[in-house]
Amino acid sequence: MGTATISTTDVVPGTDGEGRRRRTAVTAARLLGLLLVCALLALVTVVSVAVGAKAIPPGEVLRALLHGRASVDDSVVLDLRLPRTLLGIAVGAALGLAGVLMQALTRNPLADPGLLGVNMGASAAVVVAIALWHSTDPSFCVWFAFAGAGLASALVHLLGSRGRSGPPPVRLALAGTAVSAVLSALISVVTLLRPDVFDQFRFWGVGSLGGQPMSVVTEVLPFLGAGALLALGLSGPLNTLALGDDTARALGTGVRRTRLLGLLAVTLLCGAATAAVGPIAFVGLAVPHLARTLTGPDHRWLMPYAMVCGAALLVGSDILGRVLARPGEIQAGIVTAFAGAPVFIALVRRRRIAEL
Amino acid sequence: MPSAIHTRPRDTRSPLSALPGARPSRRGLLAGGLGAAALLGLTACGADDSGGPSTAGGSGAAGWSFTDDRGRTVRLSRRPKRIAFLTDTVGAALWAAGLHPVAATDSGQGIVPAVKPDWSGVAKIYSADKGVRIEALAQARPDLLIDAVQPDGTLQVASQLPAVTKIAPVVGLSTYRSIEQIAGTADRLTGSLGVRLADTGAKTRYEEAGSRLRKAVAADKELRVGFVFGIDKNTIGVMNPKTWAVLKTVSALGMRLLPVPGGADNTYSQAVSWENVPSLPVDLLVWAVSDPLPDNPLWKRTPAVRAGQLWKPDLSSWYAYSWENFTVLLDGLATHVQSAHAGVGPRTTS
Repeated sequence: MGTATISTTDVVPGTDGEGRRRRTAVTAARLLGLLLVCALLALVTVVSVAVGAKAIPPGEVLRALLHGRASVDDSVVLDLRLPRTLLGIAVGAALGLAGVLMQALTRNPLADPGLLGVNMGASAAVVVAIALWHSTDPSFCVWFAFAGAGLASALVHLLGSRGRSGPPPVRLALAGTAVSAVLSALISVVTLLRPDVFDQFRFWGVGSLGGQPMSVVTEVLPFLGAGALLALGLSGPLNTLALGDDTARALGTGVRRTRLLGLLAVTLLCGAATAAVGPIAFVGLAVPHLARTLTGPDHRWLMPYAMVCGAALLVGSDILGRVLARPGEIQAGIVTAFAGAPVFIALVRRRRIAEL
Repeated sequence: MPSAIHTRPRDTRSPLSALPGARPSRRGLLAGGLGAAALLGLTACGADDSGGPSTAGGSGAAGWSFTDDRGRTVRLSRRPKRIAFLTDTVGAALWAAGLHPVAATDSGQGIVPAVKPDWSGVAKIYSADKGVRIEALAQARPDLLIDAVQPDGTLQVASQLPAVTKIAPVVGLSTYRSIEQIAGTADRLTGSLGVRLADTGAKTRYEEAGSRLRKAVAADKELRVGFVFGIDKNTIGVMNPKTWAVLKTVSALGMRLLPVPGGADNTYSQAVSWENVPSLPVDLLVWAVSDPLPDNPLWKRTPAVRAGQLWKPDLSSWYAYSWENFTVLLDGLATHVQSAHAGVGPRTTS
């Protein structure tokens, strides 16, 4: 992995002493900002466990958390709300981080994790699993989704790669779009010809945090963790990559290696996230932009911010879906698009989107 | 075995929801030409809605006439012999009654196979990507089409594909009434076309099962029953007693069903979060789709499920409206109602 960690924002003109003081101030501000978004996430987490389609008094929620499943309300808190909150944090963080990686790797501000065909690969694999084995068991589908995400990602890389710098951003994006289109057609064909498959796939087709047992959280967590560690380790090389391939190479960054490891991290993060909750759009696209407005383009800060903001956005959307449609619910995948799109549009209109 | 998809009527993924609609196209023009040719075979035909609904179709020296579930009377100069079924539900109901078509649909949802039809020589007129294939329908040269009537009184296929009405006159069979009315219309139509009913004892057995259920319900009038199904991972659906044929049937037999708010405006079901499922005021739950029973932890915490007052009927299809198919349902319901106890579920939704 490259060792250069030049930042595009931390180069402050002036004397060494002044520069150091300014850098310290900027770092302190970013650290404070990170603490604030973490506090926001903590608040959203508490609300997510305390509030839902059913009104449960806070004392009862606390009792359930401390003493276990004595009543139906305890079961609502421990079996429904807790797993979906943890899943929301893990998946939201993964999608936010994967979005940053995708935009950095393709140098395209409109890139999102779906661009590499990862989401479609996972969806197509689940359709095939349902068609062949008639199972929608989350613990079973998770592995198919993950395999599908990996295969689609590998195929996109194979189609898009040429040259010693690894896959060029544009070719990678085009290959991803093409593979996604083919996989989308495959899903349509199978669900159209097999109504029984459609009936079961509809449970999975829209991303949703609910209805997943805690075992799904523990199954995908190692993959999300590995992907996150890999991605965070690439923050320095991605900073130099933003200056262009030649400059990055001159600064000692392994361009090809960075791209390959970046793709691997995206596959791990998105594959596991999609496998766990189904396809969730928008988080991977909007959260990096939101985080970038707070941190600037330095990936060393951008990545943790995107993780925390992604988690807060997804968990927050899930809460909205639970309280807006009582006594029913709206899937988080729908709410993220409905609630997030206007915010994103406002963001785009008010601020200049950071160039990549 | 397929599962039911319960949505609002306009969203219903009916076997024909993929129809291209009323697009003027080469296909439409071709159908128009073929339809005109088909009409030459009929010395006179037409439909009017001047008369009210009648209970009998007829055939004789004056030709053939039939008043359908929309109250429209189709009059033809002679009794039609070449019949086409335009939807799966219509096909299943009429095949079960004994009527054999020259053309029919099977969208693969398991509705038609539930009545075990022998379709050798019958033209298959449904394709997954196009819905009803109008060329195939015209080639079968039907002289009467049978379509499903939707809750708003429109025809399911003919309203989206008006060109079919140029091929032959259309009779509407409503599948949003009680089973007695659906199977009764199927019998009446079959009889009026001069076809012997498939199984005359089936209706008697159905009525006996209905009678058993009526007695069981009368013995415990407080018992509250809910028909439910899985919508997605977060919610289950409570079926609206005012929409579904099955629920209209058991309601007429006295069963106390879980109501759905605003149920009069054709809402198919009410979505209920899993968080609220244990609070549903029901004593007996009927899992009304062929999907497996849910594995959500809150399902096991639901009072009716904990008390074992749960039934997943082993129906071939929930949409095959035949006496025989629903005799199985009424019989099973009678048994489960007899063994269930009222007051197991909560009094009201908390």
